[in-house]
Amino acid sequence: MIARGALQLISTPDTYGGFSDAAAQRRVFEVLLDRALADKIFVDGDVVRVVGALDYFCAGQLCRILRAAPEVTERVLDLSEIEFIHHGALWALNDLAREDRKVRLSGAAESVQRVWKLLDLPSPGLELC
Amino acid sequence: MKRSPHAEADGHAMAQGYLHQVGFYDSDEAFGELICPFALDGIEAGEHVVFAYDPYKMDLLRDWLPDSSGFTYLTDTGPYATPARALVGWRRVVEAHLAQGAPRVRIAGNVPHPGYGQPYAGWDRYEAAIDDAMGDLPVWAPCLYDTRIAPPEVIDAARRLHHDVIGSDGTYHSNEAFEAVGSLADFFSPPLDPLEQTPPAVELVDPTPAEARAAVRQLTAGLLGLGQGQDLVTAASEAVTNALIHGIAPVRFRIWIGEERVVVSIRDEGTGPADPLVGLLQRTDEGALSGRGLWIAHQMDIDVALFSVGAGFTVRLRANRSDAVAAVA
Repeated sequence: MIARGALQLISTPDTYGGFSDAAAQRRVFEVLLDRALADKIFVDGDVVRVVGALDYFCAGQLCRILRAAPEVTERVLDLSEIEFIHHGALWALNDLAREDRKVRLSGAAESVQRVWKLLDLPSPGLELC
Repeated sequence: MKRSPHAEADGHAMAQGYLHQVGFYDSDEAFGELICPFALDGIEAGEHVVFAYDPYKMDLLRDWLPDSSGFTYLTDTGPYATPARALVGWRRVVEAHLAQGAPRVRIAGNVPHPGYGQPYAGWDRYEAAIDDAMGDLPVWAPCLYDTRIAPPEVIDAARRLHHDVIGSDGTYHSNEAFEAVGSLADFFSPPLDPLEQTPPAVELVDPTPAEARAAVRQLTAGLLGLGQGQDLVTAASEAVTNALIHGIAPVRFRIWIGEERVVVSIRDEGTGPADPLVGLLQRTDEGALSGRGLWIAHQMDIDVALFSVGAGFTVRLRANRSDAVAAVA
């Protein structure tokens, strides 16, 4: 489970962008990953690999972590080892993505792609590939 | 076939707005008196007309109506696979013809009910939802019920669910019998599946969505087609998540494995969603980042039924076992 203090640290929009420098932001990001979803989320450069399932109950955590991550113009989430994504997780990722801060979901299973298609959301920043 | 009085200069007929009406007939001739002017007037107005009736009525229509590219006859299951998919399917059909230049699309078909050997439960919700689902499109949809085969309770429900009613002469007016629906309990409750009267293969209390998915995968492995199996897993997970978030504990999750089908039931002790049309429409609270779980479940290649009777709300999911596998099993 994520530590209480860490959750508070990343739970408000004001926190994002409040770091004094990028290095500090990255350190906090790494600590959060280590404490929270280390068995589910692996980071390799700009690629985030998610393993297992993204249920409704952990989608918020993932998004908070991604918000706290060092800013990149394109974030790739490798979903090839995901067995299930709650539609709310896709929705939250779509909400997180922006035209200038794209989120690419790679390796999504057919069932995930189907749910995404059914959601039929405007998605200027999120792309399934 | 004589043309009805509403053929010309009828403000409604020429309007770009949506028309959804109910009408009744008790003979083939009476059916023709209603449907043929509706179809011929549509062609004359440059509109497209789409039929989705049973084979007998389709034959009648082909006999009565001239050959025309303005008529489309949907001869397979058509839009009436399930209520939720019917709403989406009809909308796609209408949008396709509008995109091809039709100023309006006229659609007519028979909604399933016991007179056609199918339950009406679910289709009464469809009738109540269609205004919301298609009201923004220029489409005219008269729902004509055959009183020779429609049970009285179906006729009564159909009469209450439409704003306008068509007279035997083809004219229509405001329906005084119309009643707005307020809750799921206002609709017919789907019939119980006989399997539900037997001990389930598994019962979990307050499962996590992951546990529910694992149970479905384990018990249905090899019994369902790949796509349908995944659909069942997705729908079950969404329903369990909803029950845990919105329902009242305990959440009971049951699976039955029959010779022909698999039944999954998710029940909590709450009263269920407040929206009587839940799952049929893509409605979501503003600013929300979820809330379409039942909508997604209803779009899957499975049967979805909602029960809200007294204390307790149940989502039932059913999938037919694939024939080849069932024959071997």
